[in-house]
Amino acid sequence: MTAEKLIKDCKAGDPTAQKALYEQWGPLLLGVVRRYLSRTEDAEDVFVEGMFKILTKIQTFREEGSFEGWMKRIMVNEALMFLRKQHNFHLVREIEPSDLHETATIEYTLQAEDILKILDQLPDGYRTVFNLYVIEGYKHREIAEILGISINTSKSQLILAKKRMQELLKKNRLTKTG
Amino acid sequence: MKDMESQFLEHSKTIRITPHARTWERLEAKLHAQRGHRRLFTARLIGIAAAILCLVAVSAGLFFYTRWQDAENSMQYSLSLEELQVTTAKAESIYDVERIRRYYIEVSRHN
Repeated sequence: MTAEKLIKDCKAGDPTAQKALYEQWGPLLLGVVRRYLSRTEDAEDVFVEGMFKILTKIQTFREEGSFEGWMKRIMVNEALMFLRKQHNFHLVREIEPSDLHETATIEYTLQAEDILKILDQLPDGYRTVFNLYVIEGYKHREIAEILGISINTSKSQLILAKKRMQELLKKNRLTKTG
Repeated sequence: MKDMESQFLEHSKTIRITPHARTWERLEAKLHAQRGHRRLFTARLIGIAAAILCLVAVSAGLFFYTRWQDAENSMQYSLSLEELQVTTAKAESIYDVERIRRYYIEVSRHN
């Protein structure tokens, strides 16, 4: 079944199409949520909420942009909402961004499963900023607005996240700072 | 040697986690509940519309009934007035007959 047909059927509220959509994109979308939330149970809860929102709000999707991108945005927003309920991003430590160097290189080629292992070991603040900046491609100004923190906090969280990641990789004798 | 960020970016796109077997059941239950909720909402809406229609019909019925009764009352009143006039006329004529009768009795006495 093509994506267009699937979207059309889901818009008509066809349960078979809804299940097909879940089966086709579910693993990818759960992967998105899992990058933000280290606890599998939390990730599953957020994923269910996100999927429910996707399937009930699919009428609002204008077939202009990418459907996958639209679904991913919903999942990211759901994950951020969950994190916001649990955390106060204002309380995270702030440092001067100029104090640290940003470049981080590794001599080892990471595998997909390493990404989650490393992200899971990061504090929520570091992980969230890293995901939003590196993977989602948001600017620090946008991250600051989304999380309700200062731009400097966003920058310092990113630098600290990278530093921590390098330490974690070093521990496993995988890294070398550049 | 590769940049850590680009490696993360590259691999994050490939992360796929199969949801728990019961996750679909949870989602399905939520969707089912929402459909039920929507049906209930539609039923309520239809109920409210029917109640409003009934209210309008009853109000209109009452209004026209009252008007009809008023019309009937005024018709009865005008009829009674007519009857009264007839009665009065009759009474007057009876009164005249009585006067004539008394007059003849009086005249005959004198004669």
